[in-house]
Amino acid sequence: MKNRTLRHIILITLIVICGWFFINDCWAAEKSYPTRSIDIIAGFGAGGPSDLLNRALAKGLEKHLQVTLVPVNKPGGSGLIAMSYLANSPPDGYTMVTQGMNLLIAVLNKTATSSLEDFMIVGQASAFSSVMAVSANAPWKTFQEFVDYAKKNPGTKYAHPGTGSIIYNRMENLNKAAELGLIGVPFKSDAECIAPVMSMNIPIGVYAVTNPKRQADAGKMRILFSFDPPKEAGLDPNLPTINSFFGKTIADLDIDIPMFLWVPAKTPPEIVKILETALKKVCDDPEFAESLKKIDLRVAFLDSETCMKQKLPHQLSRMKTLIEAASQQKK
Amino acid sequence: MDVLNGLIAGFQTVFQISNLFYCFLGVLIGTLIGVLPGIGPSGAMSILLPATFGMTPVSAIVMLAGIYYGSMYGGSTTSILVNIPGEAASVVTCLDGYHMARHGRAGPALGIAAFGSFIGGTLSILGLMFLVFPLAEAAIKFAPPEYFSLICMSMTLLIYLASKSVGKAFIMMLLGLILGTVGMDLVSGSPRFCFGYPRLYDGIGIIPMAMGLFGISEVLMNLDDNGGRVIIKTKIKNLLPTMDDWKKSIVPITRGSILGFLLGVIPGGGTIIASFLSYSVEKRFSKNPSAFGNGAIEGVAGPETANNAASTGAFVPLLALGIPSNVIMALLLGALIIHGIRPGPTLITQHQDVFWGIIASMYLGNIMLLILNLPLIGIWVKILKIPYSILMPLIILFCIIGAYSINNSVWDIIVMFGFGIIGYILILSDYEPAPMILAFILSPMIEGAFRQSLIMSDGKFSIFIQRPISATALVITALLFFSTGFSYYRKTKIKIAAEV
Amino acid sequence: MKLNIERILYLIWISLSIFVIVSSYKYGLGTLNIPGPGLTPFIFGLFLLLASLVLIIRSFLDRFKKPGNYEMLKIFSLRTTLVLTSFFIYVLLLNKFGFLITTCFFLMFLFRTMGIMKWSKLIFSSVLIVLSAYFIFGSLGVRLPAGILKW
Repeated sequence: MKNRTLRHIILITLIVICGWFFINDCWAAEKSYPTRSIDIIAGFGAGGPSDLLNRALAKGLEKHLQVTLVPVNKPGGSGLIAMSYLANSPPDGYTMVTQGMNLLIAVLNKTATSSLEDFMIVGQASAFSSVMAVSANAPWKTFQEFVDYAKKNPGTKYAHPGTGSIIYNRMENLNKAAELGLIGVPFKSDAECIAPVMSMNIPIGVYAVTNPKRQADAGKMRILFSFDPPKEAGLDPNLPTINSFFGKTIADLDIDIPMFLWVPAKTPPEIVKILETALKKVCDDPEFAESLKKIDLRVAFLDSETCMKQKLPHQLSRMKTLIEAASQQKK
Repeated sequence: MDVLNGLIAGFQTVFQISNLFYCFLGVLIGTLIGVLPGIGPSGAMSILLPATFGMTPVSAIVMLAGIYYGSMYGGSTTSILVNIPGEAASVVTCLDGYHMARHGRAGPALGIAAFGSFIGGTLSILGLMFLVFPLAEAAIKFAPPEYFSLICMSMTLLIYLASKSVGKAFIMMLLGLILGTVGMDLVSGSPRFCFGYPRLYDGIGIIPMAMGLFGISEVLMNLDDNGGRVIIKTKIKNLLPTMDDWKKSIVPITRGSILGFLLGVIPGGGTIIASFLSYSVEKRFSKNPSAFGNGAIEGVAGPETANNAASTGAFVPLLALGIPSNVIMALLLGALIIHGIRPGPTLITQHQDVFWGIIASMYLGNIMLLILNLPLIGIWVKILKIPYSILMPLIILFCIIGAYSINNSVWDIIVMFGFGIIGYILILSDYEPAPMILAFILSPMIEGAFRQSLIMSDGKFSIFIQRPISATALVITALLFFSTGFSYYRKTKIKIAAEV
Repeated sequence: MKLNIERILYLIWISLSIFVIVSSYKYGLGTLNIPGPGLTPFIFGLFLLLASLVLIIRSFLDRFKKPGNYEMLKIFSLRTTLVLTSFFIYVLLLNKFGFLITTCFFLMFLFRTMGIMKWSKLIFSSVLIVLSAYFIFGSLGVRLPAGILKW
C-alpha cells in the first residue's frame, strides 16, 4: 500500500469517528435531564467523612434519578479545588459537589479564587455533629470538670484539624463566647488529632463525631460534650450540649456544619428543581439514613430556598464576626 | 488470642478461591501501578473502592492492601531502568539503581530490589503479628516535639545523599526547604508563595517534581549524549544478583527491614522517609561510602527493603487503634467502614477473621509478588535494548500520562516539565537533586512540628529537652552533626595538604 | 569576570533568596517564641543567601578552581530546544484539543527529532501508540482529556 493511500485512510477514519460522536452528542441533548451519568465530587480524599457522605449520596440519588452517579475525589486546598472545578464546569446539571462551608471561610479569609455568586445550593443533605473528647485516662469525667479546670488554667490546649476548618471556627466561637480561655493546636486532619489527645499530650480535642465515637466505644477516649443534639449522632443523650450547658444566648451564636449539594449558579432552574426533589426523596429514604448511621452522620434536609436565602447569609454573618474578631486579636 | 491459632485461621480464610483471586489481583494491579510513574496506590485504590462493594470485607481489604504493598515492589522498576521514580519512595533507588542499569547490571539491581522487598515485607509482617499492640501504644506517644527531633535527626543525614560538591548539596537542600514552604501555612492558614493559584495551596506536588527532576532531566541529557550518558551497551550479564552482591546486601536488608518497619509504625513516618533514611544510614556506616552514587548495590537493597517494611508497618496503628498514619491508610479505613467493620481498638478482638485474614494474605501476597517480579526482570531488561530514538518519545509519553493521572490535571504535567528543565540545568552544573527532594518533603513536617510544639509549650523551647524521646533524638542529632562535620573537616584538611 | 553557567546560577540563587527574604518579611515574622508564617522561609532564605555568597566568592579564588566550562550553547542544543519547545506547545494545547490529537502530533514531532523520517512510519506508529495508551489507561480509570472530541 502506498504512503498516500494509507494517509488518506487514516484521515477518513478520524473524520468518521469525530462525526459519529458529534451526532451522538446532538441526539442525546434532546432527551430530558438526566440522560447520562452525573459526576458527584467530594472535595476531600477517599475514606474520609466527606467522601463517605458523597458516596452514600451518590448511591441514594442513583435510585431516584435513574442514572449512574459517579463519585469523584478532587482533594486539595481544603475543598477549594473541587469548588474551582465546579465553577468552571458547564452548568448542565451533570457536575455537582458535596461540601460544607469551606468556600465561605476561604472567602472571608480572602484566600478564595471563586466567589459565592458562582454557585447555587441544591439543598442540604446532612450536618456534621461536632464533639469534644478527652483521653479515657484523663482526670475529667464530665464536661463541667473540664470547664472548671480550663477556667482555673487559662491557656489549656485543644487539638483541631486546622485554622481553615469550620470546626475550628465553631470551637473558637464557643471559646470566645463562653470565655473558656483555650488555645488551639492545629493539625492537618481530624484523624491526626486523635493520637495526641489519646496519649494525653494535649488535654482535649474537637472533632467530627466519627473518630472519637469509635475510640470511645472501645474505651480509649471519652466524649464530654456535643455541640449538636447528641441523640441524633448516636451518642449518650445525657451529654451536655451548647443549649443545656451554656444557655440560649451562647447557643444562638453557634454555627453548625452543614453539608450541601452545590451546582454552578447558571444551572437552569428546572434542573435544580429536579435535583432538589431527588435530594429530598433521598433524605426521606430509610436506606440512606441507615448508610449515614454507619458513618455516624445524620440526615438533615433543607431545601434550596432555605439554604440560599436563610442559612447562607446567617452562616456568613456569624463567620464574618468571628473571623474579624480573630484578626483583631492578632494585632 | 493465640497467635498460632489465629494465623492458621487466617490462612484458612485466605486459601478460599475468591480471596486467593483478589489477593493476586491486588498485587498484580499494585505492581503495575508501581511501575507506572505518576498514579500511585492511593489513586488506584480510590478508583477500585466501589468495585469492592460486592465483595466480602476480607476480600476487599486483602485486595486493596495488596495494591499498596505491591506498588512498593513495582516502584523500583522504572527507577532502575530509566531513572524515573515510579513513586516518591523509589526516588533513592534511582541514585544507584540507574547507574547499575547503565553498566549492564539492571538484572541484579532489579533482583536485589525484589528480594529485598520480599524480605522486608515478610519480616515486618512478623512484627505486625507479634508486636501490634505494644507498638501502637508506643506510636501514639509521638507528639509534635518528638516528630521535630526525629526530623532534625533525619536532616543531618540528608547530606549523605550527595556524592559530589557539599556546598552545592547544601544549596539544593535549602532550595528544597524553601520550596517546601509553598502552600497554605498550617498554623495561620494563610497561603505562602501561592501567587493566587489554588493548586499551590497544598504545595508543589512531590510526584511530578520527582518525575521531572529525575526522569525528564535524564531524557533531556540523553538527547545529545551529554557527558557520556548513553545507555552503555555492555552485554547484560547475569540476570540475578551474584554471591558477592548478596554478601554486600545482607546487612543493608536487615537494617532496612527494622528501620523501615519502625518508621512505618510512627504515624506520619512513611515509606519515603524510610527509603531516604535507609540510603543515608547505609552510606554513613559503609566501609566504602564513595561507591554510593556510582552503582553500589547497597544503595538499592537498603531503601527498597525499607519502603516495603514501612508499608507493612503502616498497618499497625490502623489495625490496632483505627488511626490512619497516612492517606492510604485513611482510604483503607474508609473501606473498612463501608464494609460494615468498625476499625478501632476492637477490630482485632471483634473481627479476628479480618485481622488474621489480612496478615495471612500479606505473607501470600509477598510470595506472589516475588514470583511475579522475578521473571519480569528478563522482560524489563529487554526493554533497555530498544533503540533510544524510539524509547525516548515513549518515555516522555509515559511520564505525561503518569503525571496527568495523579489529579486528572494538566497542571501536574506543567510542574513535571518545569522541574525537568530545572533538573537538566542543575545536573549539568554538578548539582544533585536528591538532597533537594528530601529537604522538600521534610520542610513542612519539621516546620509544622516545630510550631505545634511551641504552641503546646506556650513558646518555651525547653519542651524539646524535657521529653525523653525528643531529648534522646536531639542528642543523637548533635552527635551525628558533629561527627559528620569533623570527618568533613579532616578530609578537607588532607585535600588541602595534598594540593599544597 | 567570566560569566559561565556556574556563576549565573549563583546569581540566580542570590536573587531568589532576596525575594524569599523580602516576601517572608511581608508574611509576618512573629517572634522566635511565637513564629509567624514568614519566619521559617525567612531563615531558609537567609541561609541560602549566605551559602550562595560564600560559593560565588569561592569561585573567584584560584584555590578552588574546578575544571569544566559549561557553555550555554552546549546546554541548549538544537535538539534539546526543539524538544522543549514542542513540549511547551503541547502542554498549552492539550486541554483544548484533547489528548488524542495533540499527543499524536507531539509524538510524531518527537520521533522526527530523534531521526525517524518516513512519514508512513511516523503517522502509523504515533496513532497506534496514542490510541492504545488512551484505551489502556482508560480501562485503568484514567480519563485523559477529551478536548474537542467529547464523548
